[in-house]
Amino acid sequence: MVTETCQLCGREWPRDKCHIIKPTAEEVAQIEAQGEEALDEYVHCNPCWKVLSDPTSGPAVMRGLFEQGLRSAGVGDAEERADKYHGELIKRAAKPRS
Amino acid sequence: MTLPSSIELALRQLRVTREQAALEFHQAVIGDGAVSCQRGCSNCCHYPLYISVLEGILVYQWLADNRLWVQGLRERFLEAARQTWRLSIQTWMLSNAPCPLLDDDQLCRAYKGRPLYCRTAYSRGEPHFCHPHRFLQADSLVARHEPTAAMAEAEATMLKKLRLKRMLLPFAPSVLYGECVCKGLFDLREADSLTLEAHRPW
Repeated sequence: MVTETCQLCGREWPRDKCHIIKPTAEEVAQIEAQGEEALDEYVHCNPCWKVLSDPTSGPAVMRGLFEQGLRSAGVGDAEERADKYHGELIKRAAKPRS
Repeated sequence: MTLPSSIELALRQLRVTREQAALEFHQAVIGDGAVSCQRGCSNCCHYPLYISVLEGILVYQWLADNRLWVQGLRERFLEAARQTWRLSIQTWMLSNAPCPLLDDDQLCRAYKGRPLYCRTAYSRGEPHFCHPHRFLQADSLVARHEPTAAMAEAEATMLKKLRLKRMLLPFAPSVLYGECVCKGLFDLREADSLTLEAHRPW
């Protein structure tokens, strides 16, 4: 059985039960413009994907990760920034996909 | 559908143990200083919660006896079960997912029938820091290892006599399995990870 490491929780999960996102050329360019290295695939296990793809819990997870990242980087107003980021994510999640 | 008498007895003992452990812990916490918990604050209702199937039966029975186990609530449990089954505790913590028992006023629908873990949740600091996203920034929540470990031990002893396994499951699945056991759809004596998977109610 081929397994993959979930990008969110770090567990090994059967590849056929993972949600795999392959970034488009445009997305790769956006990621690289932020100074990060783009991956060929972004893998999430099924339980994590259920949470991440939900319009309520998905933004909540990303908000929590964002706030903890800011705090560990020593940003003072981490909470306010995280709230703002969360608001933006909620708006995007509510937008119908074209 | 009546449960086997040995399981009924274990449930009764567990209910008593839970009440006692919660009361003793409450008295110790109150005696040690001010508690900052307030009505309507539901930060600790957004934490991952794992309970045994036996305690899941107790919660289900309380809800059913009080005529609260209605279609709408059951659907909330099914949705919560779909999201939390096999979810890692870290992702659950970050997801800020509310307990399915939480109502629109941020109050528990089953306050008098809630699990021990919830009965022993107390905040002594700024409740703001009890939020799952800020949990690591302050030690607001009072450590509750003592009462929960005592109940786990009591439960393990009871189950050993009945030759049953003690399985901790996410809260919503545990209550849903509790419903299946009470309705005779699932035999607790045959419960292991494979049979649980085969009888998933969601």
